[in-house]
Amino acid sequence: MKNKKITKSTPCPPSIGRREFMKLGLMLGAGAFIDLHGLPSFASNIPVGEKTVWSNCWAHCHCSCLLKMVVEGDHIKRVETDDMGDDSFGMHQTRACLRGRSLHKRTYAPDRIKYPMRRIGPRGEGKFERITWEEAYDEVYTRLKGIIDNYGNDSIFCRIGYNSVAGPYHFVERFLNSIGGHVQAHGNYSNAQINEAVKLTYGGHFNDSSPMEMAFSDLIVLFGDNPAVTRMSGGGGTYLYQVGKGKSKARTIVIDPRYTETACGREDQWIPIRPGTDAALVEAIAYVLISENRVDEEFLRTHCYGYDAEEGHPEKGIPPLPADLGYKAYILGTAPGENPKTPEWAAPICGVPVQTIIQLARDIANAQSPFIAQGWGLQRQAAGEQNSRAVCMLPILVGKLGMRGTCNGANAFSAPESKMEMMPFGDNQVKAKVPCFLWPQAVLDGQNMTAEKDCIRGAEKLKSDIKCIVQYQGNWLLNQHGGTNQLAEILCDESKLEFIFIMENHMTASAKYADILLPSITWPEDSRYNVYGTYAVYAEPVVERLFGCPHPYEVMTELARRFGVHEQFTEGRTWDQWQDHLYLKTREKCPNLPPMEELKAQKAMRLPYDPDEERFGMKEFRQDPEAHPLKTPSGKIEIYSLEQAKRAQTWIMPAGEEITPLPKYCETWEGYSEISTSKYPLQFISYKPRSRAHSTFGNIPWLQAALEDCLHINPIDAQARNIRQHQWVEVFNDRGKIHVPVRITPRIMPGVVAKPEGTQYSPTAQGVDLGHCANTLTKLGGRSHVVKANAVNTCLVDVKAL
Amino acid sequence: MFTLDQSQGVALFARLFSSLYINPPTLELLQELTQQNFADQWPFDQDQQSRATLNHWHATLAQEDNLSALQKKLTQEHLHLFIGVGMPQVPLWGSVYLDAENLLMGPSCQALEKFLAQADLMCTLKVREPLDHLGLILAALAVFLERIRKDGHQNQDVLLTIKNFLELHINPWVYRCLALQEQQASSFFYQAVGQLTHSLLLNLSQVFNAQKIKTQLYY
Repeated sequence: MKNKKITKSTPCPPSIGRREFMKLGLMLGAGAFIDLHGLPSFASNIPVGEKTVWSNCWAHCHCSCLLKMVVEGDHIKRVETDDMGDDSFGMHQTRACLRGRSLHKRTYAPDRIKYPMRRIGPRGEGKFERITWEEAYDEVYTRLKGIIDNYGNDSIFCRIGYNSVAGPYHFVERFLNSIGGHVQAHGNYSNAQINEAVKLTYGGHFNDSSPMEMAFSDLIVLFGDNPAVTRMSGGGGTYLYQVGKGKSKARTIVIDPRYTETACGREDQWIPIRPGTDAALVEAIAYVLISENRVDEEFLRTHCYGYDAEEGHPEKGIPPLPADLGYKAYILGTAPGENPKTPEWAAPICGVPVQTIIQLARDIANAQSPFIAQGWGLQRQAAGEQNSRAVCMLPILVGKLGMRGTCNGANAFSAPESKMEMMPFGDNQVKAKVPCFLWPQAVLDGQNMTAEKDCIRGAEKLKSDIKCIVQYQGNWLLNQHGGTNQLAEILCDESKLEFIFIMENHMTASAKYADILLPSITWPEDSRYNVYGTYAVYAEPVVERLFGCPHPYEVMTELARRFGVHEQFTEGRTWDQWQDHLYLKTREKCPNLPPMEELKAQKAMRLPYDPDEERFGMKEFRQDPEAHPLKTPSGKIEIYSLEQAKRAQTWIMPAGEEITPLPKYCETWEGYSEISTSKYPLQFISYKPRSRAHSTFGNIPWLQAALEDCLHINPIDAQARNIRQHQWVEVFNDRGKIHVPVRITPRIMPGVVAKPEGTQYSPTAQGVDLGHCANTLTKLGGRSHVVKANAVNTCLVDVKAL
Repeated sequence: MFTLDQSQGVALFARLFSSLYINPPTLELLQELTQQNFADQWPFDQDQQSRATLNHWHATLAQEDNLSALQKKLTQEHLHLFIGVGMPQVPLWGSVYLDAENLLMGPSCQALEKFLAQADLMCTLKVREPLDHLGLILAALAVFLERIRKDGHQNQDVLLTIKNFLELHINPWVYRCLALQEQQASSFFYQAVGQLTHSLLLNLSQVFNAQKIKTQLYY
């Protein structure tokens, strides 16, 4: 036919617009789904139904609990905990606290960092652009290499947030060591001062006594120790504290500026004490003990150096000591220039009434087995080492340590510490270590930091300023360090810190200052073995990693590959192969642990706990100090520290600070002694929140609802400032201002205010921190006398109603 | 009811918006959108508003003298809106709205993923992401709509699948999400994407008689 009519039924070619529109479809590609409709069905690889998976908590709380994740399909529905056995003591469960039970809420937080990012705009504004993983690896490599080429490995600072079992991120420092090394920190934000104090006094033995020993005590005295919060999980010591204390029902005295949860009706006496004055209280107790002849003179002679005159041992290099340099003369005031450390002298300083001091001294003297211990609050002070050494003097003076039911005055934490072997750091070519709290000074002026002036260890001085920081998780770059406003300024100066590399789960205050910010996986997406408390676990990944985030070990491996040190870094092992290897090495040390194959099959196993085992240290030393000397220069308990005496000769100290061989109460900057002359009349301390592990878990509303993040203030101080219950207040000093709701309570002594630490620094343009981070008030350079460590509990503020 | 042509058209627009929710536009896509005005292709004849939006969208793109700069700007906007430097301004996962704690992968997400599996859809993403993401939902919707075409007739199962998908897994929360997008999107580009997605879902719900069941939302 010539004229073929086009009818409606004849398919028309698409109009121009329609054709282009169809082409668009091609450009857009296939999309994320394949249609299997009508095709033979096949088994999905997503499992169906509900099941439980054994897992483990990695929170930064110095313990680790067994978790049981309830999984549906491949989602974690909820987190339960250890329910193996019948929980009879000795085979009891290690049950997680509320934080452990919210692990999946971190995994499924919509504000998780999902993809690699690169900073755009000035540092600290928190503006980023997304990059690919390949771009991230290349850029981190290039920038790290640039830093090393220009300034050397001595210009890189890194510390992993938590250098132990619950946070095995050793691969970060291992990677840096495989590319030439980095400046490490010595000490940490938590316990540097007490560690040093105990090393000087006892040569170690920082956490010898388990709270289980309280079962054999007839008196318990706790200085700034709050296990109900700081060890609140089943893996922590609070359960053992309850069991141990419950067995003896020993009289319990809690000495703390706050009426803590450990007290709250479970104590027999609360002695409120002004922050930073514990050493003064101890000296007054010592005065009573000495003047009432309640000290154990023989013990002091045979086991200690420095109580009174010492003959010394020239052959052993132990010098003689004249009486007036000894502790007794210091306390009694017979030493030249010293006053007697009477309760009347101490009371106005520490705020403890004279009669209370005297009675406390007598209680300690009368006890057969006093259990005297401290937490970490009093050591986190400008004279923290002094406070810690002082508390140790109490069991020393009455000769009650190294025996059943006692503690040497240091820490008394926990369940059996894990002996898990950690991934080795490898050899760090950089030997110098900077005090953990002084890294900002090392950024500003590292090349002038020395051993004598700044407690640099491993070398006489630092070689270089710090030009680069690597932070894997942790929030110490800004939020958890002193003086957030002042530190933020330093971080913003790109001529100082040229490269900041952070890997993190959430947009913390620190993360905002990254140049390259990479996501990391959360703990349920990870795998490892752990042995802690009363269990061993082989924890496989509970769920697949979200958003394609690689394992951080793989990230480090990729970086190592670019540096040409892949083999050295990995030793040919994947992450899981490392876990197997480390477990086998652990078993070499602890053959009683289950064989690897068995643990892999069972996933979680109960480990027995002997309730009656002796869990106190220094037993052999006590029984025979000659045969079992301590690791001190003299081999004895050093009341007079020979190491400190050496330092007093050579160290360069700022005005007003001195190194003392004896433990001594010291007046310090922003201590109680300055109240009368300061603009800021209130002492400010911060404490551990139950709803977080520092700032971790802070983005989970479910948890934050459990704890009021507020300022605790005594009714007397509140009334003087016309502050009403629950209202918002401004807490301020020269360094910063925070806005926070208040809780007026007699659970804190007058003259002291306190808030939980770990909320995120969130400054407004007007300079008010609405996130009310405690460190907006603390001092950037506020470090302790000896090891230059974190002294954030030494801080003066005022409060006003808003 | 719904012609093959229409369903094909809806599927294509769904794929376009899906792509723009999952990723910011590539330069190539921007160029295509600049060159072609697809206003006439909008499959819902009565919806003049959306045609006007499409016309305006095309006009603003055609006026743009530096597409490369625009592409960078949209990439940044996409990051802040949908991925987040921390919390995204407009979370695209249904679970954030439907879960009392705003968590990802909540029970609503599990239900949706089960629904998709039972409807014979297989996800080809190489990484694990929650599938209740608006971009992924639009991609799934496109597959269902294309089934109408494949079947060549109005298959009752397919129609029911689409109805249920809209009614049970999309409508309860998506309009809240799109309202947030309207508030937060700084560019007309992403304003338009939000408005058009809104219209598409609303019109489709009408065609398939999918209800908007009143549901408690937590975000």
